[in-house]
Amino acid sequence: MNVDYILTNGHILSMAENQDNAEIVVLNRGSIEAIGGQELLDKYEGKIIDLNGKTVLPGFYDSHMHLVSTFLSEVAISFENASCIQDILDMISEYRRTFPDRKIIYGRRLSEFQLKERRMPTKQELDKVAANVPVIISSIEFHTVVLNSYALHIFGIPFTIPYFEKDADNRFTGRIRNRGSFIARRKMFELLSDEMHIAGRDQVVKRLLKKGVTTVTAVEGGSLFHEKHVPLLMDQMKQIPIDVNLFYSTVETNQVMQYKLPRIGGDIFLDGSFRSHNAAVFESYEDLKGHKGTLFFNHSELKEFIQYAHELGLQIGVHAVGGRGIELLLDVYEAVLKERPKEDHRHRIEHFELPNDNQIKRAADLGLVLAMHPTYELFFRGDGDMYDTRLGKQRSLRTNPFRKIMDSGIVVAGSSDSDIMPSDPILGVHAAVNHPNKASQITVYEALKMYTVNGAYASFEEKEKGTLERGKKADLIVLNQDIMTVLPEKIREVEVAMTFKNGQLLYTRVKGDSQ
Amino acid sequence: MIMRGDFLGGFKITLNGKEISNLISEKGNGILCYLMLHAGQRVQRKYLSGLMWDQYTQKSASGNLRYALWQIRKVLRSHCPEIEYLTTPTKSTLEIPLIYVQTDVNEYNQWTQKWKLSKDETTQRMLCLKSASGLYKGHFLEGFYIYDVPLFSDWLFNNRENLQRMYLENQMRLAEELGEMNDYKRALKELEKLSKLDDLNEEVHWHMIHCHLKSGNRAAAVNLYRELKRRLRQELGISPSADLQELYQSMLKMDHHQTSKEEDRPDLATTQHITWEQPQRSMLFYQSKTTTGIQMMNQALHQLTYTPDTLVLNICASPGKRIQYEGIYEIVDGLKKHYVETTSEAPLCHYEELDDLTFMSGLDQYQIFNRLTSLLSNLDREVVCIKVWNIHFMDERSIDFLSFLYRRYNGQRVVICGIYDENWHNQRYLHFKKAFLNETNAMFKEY
Repeated sequence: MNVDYILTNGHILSMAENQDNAEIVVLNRGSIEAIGGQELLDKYEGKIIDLNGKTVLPGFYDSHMHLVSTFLSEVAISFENASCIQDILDMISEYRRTFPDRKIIYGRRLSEFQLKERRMPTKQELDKVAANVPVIISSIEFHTVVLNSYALHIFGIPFTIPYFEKDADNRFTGRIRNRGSFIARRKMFELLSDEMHIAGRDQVVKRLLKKGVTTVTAVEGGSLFHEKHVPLLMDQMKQIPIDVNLFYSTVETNQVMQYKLPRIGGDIFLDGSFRSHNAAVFESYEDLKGHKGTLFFNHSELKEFIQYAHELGLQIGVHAVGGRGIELLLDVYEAVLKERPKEDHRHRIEHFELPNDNQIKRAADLGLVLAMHPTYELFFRGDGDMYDTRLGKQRSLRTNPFRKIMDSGIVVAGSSDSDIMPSDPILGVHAAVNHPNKASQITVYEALKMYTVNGAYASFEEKEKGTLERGKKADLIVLNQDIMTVLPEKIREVEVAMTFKNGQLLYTRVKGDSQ
Repeated sequence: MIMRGDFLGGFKITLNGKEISNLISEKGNGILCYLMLHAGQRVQRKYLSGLMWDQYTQKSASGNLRYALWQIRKVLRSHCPEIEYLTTPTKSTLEIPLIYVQTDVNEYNQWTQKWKLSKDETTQRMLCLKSASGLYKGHFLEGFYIYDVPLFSDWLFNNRENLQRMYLENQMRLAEELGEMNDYKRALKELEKLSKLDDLNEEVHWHMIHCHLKSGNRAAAVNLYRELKRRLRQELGISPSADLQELYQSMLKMDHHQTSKEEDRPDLATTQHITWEQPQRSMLFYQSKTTTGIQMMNQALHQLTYTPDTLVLNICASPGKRIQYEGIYEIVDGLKKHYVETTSEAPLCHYEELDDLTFMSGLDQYQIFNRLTSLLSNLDREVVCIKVWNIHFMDERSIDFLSFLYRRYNGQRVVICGIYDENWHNQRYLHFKKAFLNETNAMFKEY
């Protein structure tokens, strides 16, 4: 039989429950035609790719990321490597020289923790390098923004809102916090043209394929982003060669039904983030005594939404980070499911960063799916870094307890939260396996499941994707090393050598390709 | 001759009625604006040059200031050679005498001062507040910006902030005064101006809701709350404040006899005003009790499209049982939004009708039904489609209105469609269904 591709001499890690030792995968017409041993060579003819013993895995899922925002990050300045305010100003100057026609400058991924000054820049500083173009810089998790004077002028945000910061001389610093930053970001999204929004699309898709991602769950809309991102992304679907499952972060079921989406939410904020001190925790923040974060819903309001969406048969995803937020969400899910039980609802909790043992058990009993971000443990964990500062050393040991969660039987879908974190499942596997708290570490195989089988399950796609089995979609990747045997601390060095999507070879690593 | 500055909502300086700001450089205008707002005060040259040229050496900044002042004087003299507007009381200071200057900002400040001083005189206070309100045509120096003058920008932002806060306080007070005079309609108009400045301001909304309640219009109050709640969630990810939620809960508990006028409204079922006319229009309702069915109904309702010239009014879209007249108010609100969004040139009488309908309190039920029907029939669209997303939550009066509308409409321009979730029970809808079940153009489809 003639087929498209025969991948031979591989180490096939199918991720299926009853996987046999296979070394050949046959791809035809977008699907996996066969998987097995040498005997397949007698049955099929087609383009042969000799893998030379390399590992083959199902294509990765990134189960919670912000795709339009990630597109935008391509035209933004990333400040992740800035170490002081002057670095930021230099990068803006350089950007202006490179892109003199850009009508707005958007800077992102700035953490004051990484800066020598341990503070965000002021508008007075930004004005020195960009007086005649609006500049907006977002903190890493978007809860604080800094505007230059021109942006402050054209955004026209009323000064009567309580989120503007002023200095000792009663001058606006350009920093706007919490809800004010949402308003500023909305203004920015409204100023940015559709073309600008999607200018980075092809670059992002290329990078996702390079990282082995063949399916993403794009969490769009909502207060941190903009509802116009949803139709914008819907319009782009045909130009994006990977699968995009859209999660619309709204409580308006009507909007979701309009696009015939089977799910709702993703980043409906039940609480905030540790960085912004508004993730709802049981005990005070280490660096802000007496403050326990904020719940953005009360029980009845949340129940009204969840019950309604549940009755409409939608899969629901809600953002809950701190223990108090998680508790409220579990209470509501429990109440709704008790009144209207439903098998296989797969409702989700997004983030689930600081659960306690009882909450893990309750989530398991309710059959919830978790979308979690292992790379937080890499980027937020260091001495004096965010977890440490906000939660204190002892409590921060309890963040992202993957071991306990896996042992409870909960399905955890691995996610990047891009563009907050890079979309890089292998880095996610590395982070989960090398969790700084040894008691929370999981095996490589378990971590790989998070980005394959579990990702498919979290999107109701396990029948067509997530494992390498006959008849399933030919979404698969080839790694340059055996990820199962490489030293744990070297996992992040494993690279994707090839990515197939729907049986098409869309990425091949060439020598010298940097990760 | 008086030099006048209009700085609220824009930037314009006129002399003897002729604009002069278009003859002066940006920085010159900035300087003149600053001096006009400090008329009667001596302003240090050094301060002005620093305000405009802070990144320059003192010498260079002073030189630039001299040139800018020369240019300003030249323009002023060319229009009015006999008056020296820009005086130099000392070598190091500048001043524009107060008698030569008028600005809307100073007038606004003066009216504000006056109302605060006239504590016990309502008429005087009202005059001051109304005068101030009329002057505030937009934000301070809206649209006026000079790129590389950060200190001037700081001054501008601080003034803009002060004026916005003053405006907020004044308008609230004006609305309060109007409310005390039972003129809730005008009170609401004043609050709506504030709402345009800061459309998510919960305090302003709290007062607007109160105005609706006081005028006996509970449906409008509830609708306003729901819309605010929706936008707060969508744009800020938060719930309304505890105060607003409490107010909302109390509105729901309120017996409709507690609102002033509703009790006077006749029950439509007992009136004989409705005349039967052969329907020539469509009605389509879906009903189901299963999750799959409800999902399919929602998608079906979304897919219902008519001509491109159809105005779709979505009502009863979120969960929760509605209070009397709420659905009707949503239709009124939808029409208002339609006119605002499309900036259609609706006849003035339509706006007046909509305003009257917003304040339903003075009208009986038949008048409301009749006037709204008439408005819908005169709309600038070929078809009006009313989609009722959850008719199981809908109030009785609004269901009655749909019935009235369907029967009363003369043309073929109204489509009424909706979803009924059979897990809920709405007796009025069941009567409605029974009444229309055998209509040729009505369809009740089960999923």
